Amino acid sequence: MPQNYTLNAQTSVSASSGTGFSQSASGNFTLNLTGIDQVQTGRLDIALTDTVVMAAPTYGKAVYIRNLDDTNFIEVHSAGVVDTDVIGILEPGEWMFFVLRDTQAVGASADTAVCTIEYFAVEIDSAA
Amino acid sequence: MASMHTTFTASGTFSLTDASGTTIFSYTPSFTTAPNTSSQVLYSGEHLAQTGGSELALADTSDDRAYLFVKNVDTDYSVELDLTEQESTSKEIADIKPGEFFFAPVELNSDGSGSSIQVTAATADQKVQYLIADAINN
Repeated sequence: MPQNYTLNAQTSVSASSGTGFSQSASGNFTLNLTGIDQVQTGRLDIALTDTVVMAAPTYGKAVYIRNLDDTNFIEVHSAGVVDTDVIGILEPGEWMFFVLRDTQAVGASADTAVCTIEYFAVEIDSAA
Repeated sequence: MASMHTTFTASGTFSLTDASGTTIFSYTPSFTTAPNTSSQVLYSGEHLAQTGGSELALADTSDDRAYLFVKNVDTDYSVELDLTEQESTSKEIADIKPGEFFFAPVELNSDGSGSSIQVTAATADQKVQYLIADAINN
């Protein structure tokens, strides 16, 4: 049965040069979600072939993925084809967050050996 | 040159609650990179995303990945993000409404040459703020 949810997201980034120069940016927002069917969260093993992180949603999605492996990187892509429509590349410990208002599935693939991710993938409705 | 190395840090807080106030999940990820001695660029600023598409330059990025943070700071319409000259990419990587942001280590073309980040506003031009920093090669 579809449920209503509230997603809160906050991120801060900073980059510092050895010269002493640094820049930073941050953001936070809330999404009020209505009539949601797909909420997935937890840990997932990513194979060398395409591994489905989230099946195609009706309107769009908000997705967080963190590579928990301590050695190898993973690729995150739209739809289900490795090395195609790549959204991001996560080295060990790195994470990403994105909102996409489309009906594509989200997939991931490991490069060298199976990697475990921490993730959530939440469907968003047409008004969000 | 070692003195030009760049260190990057990202931290976040994400939570989902249901209609009764129950927390479904909560994550607080963070990472800090080792100094990237091949880093050449650190860009940040404000940009008017146009309806016909406009580009955040990556002209001097040295590596095949970049840390990319983009926030829609306008008030009216969504902005789409696309990576041009990225490996086999034809779909957008984000669609952010006013107040929303995108963050990811994104893949560029080979050493980054020829790559750019295209931002396209829906309906009318919208302002975005961004930070771009070289990330180590994968």
